Amino acid sequence: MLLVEDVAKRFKSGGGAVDAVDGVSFEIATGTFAAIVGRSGSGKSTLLGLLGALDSPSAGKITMDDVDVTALSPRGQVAYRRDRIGFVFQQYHLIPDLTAVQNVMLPMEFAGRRTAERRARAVELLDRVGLTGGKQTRLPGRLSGGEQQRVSVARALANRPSLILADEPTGNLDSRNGKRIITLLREFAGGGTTVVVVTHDRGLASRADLTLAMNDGRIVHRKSKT
Amino acid sequence: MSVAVRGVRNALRNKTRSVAVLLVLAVAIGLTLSMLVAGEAVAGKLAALRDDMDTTITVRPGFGPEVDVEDVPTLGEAELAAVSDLPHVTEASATVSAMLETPQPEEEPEGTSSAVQIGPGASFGTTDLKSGMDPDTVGAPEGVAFPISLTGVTGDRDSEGVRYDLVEGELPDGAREAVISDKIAEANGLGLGDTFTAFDEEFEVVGVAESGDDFDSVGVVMTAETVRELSEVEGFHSFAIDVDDPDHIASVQEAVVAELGAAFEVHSQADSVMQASAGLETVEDITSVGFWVSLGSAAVIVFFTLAMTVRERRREVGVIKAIGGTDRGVIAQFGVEAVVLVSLATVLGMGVAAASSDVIADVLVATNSTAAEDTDGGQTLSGTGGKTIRVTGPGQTIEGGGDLIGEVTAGIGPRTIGVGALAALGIALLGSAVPAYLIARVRPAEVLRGE
Ligand SMILES: Nc1ncnc2c1ncn2[C@@H]1O[C@H](COP(=O)(O)OP(=O)(O)O)[C@@H](O)[C@H]1O
Ligand SMILES: [Mg+2]
Repeated sequence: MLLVEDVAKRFKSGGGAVDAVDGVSFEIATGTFAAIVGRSGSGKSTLLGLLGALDSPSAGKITMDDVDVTALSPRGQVAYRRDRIGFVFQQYHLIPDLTAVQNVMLPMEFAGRRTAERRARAVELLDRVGLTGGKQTRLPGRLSGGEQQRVSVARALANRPSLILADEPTGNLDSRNGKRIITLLREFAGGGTTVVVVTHDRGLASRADLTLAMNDGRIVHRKSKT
Repeated sequence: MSVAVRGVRNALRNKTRSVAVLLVLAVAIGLTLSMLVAGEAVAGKLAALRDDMDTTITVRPGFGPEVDVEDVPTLGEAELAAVSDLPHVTEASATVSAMLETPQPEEEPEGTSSAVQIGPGASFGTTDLKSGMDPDTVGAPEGVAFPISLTGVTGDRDSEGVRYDLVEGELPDGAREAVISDKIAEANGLGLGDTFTAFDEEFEVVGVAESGDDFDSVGVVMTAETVRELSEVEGFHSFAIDVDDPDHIASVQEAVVAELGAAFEVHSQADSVMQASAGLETVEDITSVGFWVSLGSAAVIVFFTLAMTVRERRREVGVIKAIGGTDRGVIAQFGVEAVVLVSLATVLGMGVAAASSDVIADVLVATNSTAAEDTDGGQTLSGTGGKTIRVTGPGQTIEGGGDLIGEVTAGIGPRTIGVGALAALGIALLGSAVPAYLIARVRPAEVLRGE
């Protein structure tokens, strides 16, 4: 269960301040495939960063299962991101000089897993996202956008996270590849894993269990399938 | 793949730049090591110079324009006691000089005078000894009888302040004991326990002293008391004052002048050595400044290279943090990168140092010791208006400052390699400090901002 209570994030810029997230409260049940939609600049990425402990809110409280995310120390935030969160970014953000397998192994290295175990799981995850054979040992530069994003999904799954956060994962992909990624993410939701996807795409959002619409840092609309 | 492996790989990621940085860094580190090696060589030479340095001050009556030759001042027991008591004087001894004349051959060669000028105040006595000097070596006509110098000593030094080098026996102690030079011993067929006459008295040979190459600078040595009695001389003709440390020579020299007044020549080797040393000390200073400057440049090169790399890979740093990497891990990765870069550069730099340190040492020493080379060695400090007459005899020339320095050789030894490795590590750490700070400051949330 992901519980967000009255969360706000204010950025000071120049003379004034921007309330990127402005008093947001919601709750997402474990295993849900949730979508956050809204115009550019409405605060979606900022909210996602707060959920993933990439940043701390200016006010409010975020609870993930039994963890008070907003009370974590910097070290605690690192461990939380490593053990509980899987990120997927619009620009993939793979490490350019590591092969696909090595990229997927990286979070497991941070978690202190043994090399053999890391490699085996990385190969298995890449197989599951559909990147097989020789492509697994290619550098990201030699993979297509869709393939890179699939590597990035595999990387997000590496440490068996309870929350996958994807920020516009289809933004750089054509619709066919975009669909594939959404289908993948959909597949991984359920059981103990919650997936939150930020997207512009109303069509993709329609496949979510829960849709939150943001505007000017607030949730202006919520729609649940159940 | 570990942090270390990623660090190593990243160091070589951009090949062109890596090579360029490596070369510049190698030169900087090479210079650092060269300075170290050159500085050490110079320091070693300085220490050797000081170790070899004669810390004896000699005092003799002066013969300047202000001193009347008829009125040569005397050095007495009171003066000896006074200089002995000066601070930093470990020992002071005195000598009395006289001459012994060998009976002349019957037919004296035409136009040759046997009167050899030896300076004022010398008393002559007769002896049955023949001089040990071979007329050939000084180009004198056959049959010339050289006089023999007779020195009375209170210590173990001659009138130049040089310690007697005994081949056998010991220095005279009793009133009728004498040391003779090895040349006289040979010329007269004398050994320990044999006797000879001087001033119509009989003396026993108790020691034989080494007299040097061509000339006989030893002659005959007796106690000062005996020589004073025989030659009816009052006081002494020279003092030899031992100073405890090369650093104190100048001050003791001044104190002696203050104590005895201006009428004496107070002489030491210190000035020329100090002058030579001063040149070397300048070189030492230059090399130590050079060391720090080139070490600093190396650190700056590492710093800018890493700072540039961190800027370029800011996004990557953010991603690693976002997916669970710690600051420490990322910093370690960049640290390994720096160490790899610096280590490779150090290996190349050792080559640079090997090629350049000798040259650097030579050039620095050559340009900083010309002053010392121009001096003729012994410097005389006296109150006689600077127009002093030197009584330095043949065979007793003092080495010039330039000769004192001789060769300074610099070489790369295991110590340099060790220090080089340490310096390299230091540079890597120093140069990584600020980039590490930059890394720590990268906010992982930045990766969410598209551009
Ligand atoms: N680090 C920051 N500093 C200043 N302003 C920021 C920062 N991050 C986001 N913002 C501002 O907050 C608002 C929301 O941004 P963002 O969360 O990226 O929106 P979205 O992802 O919906 O496009 C924008 O006005 C943006 O300019
Ligand atoms: Mg965004």
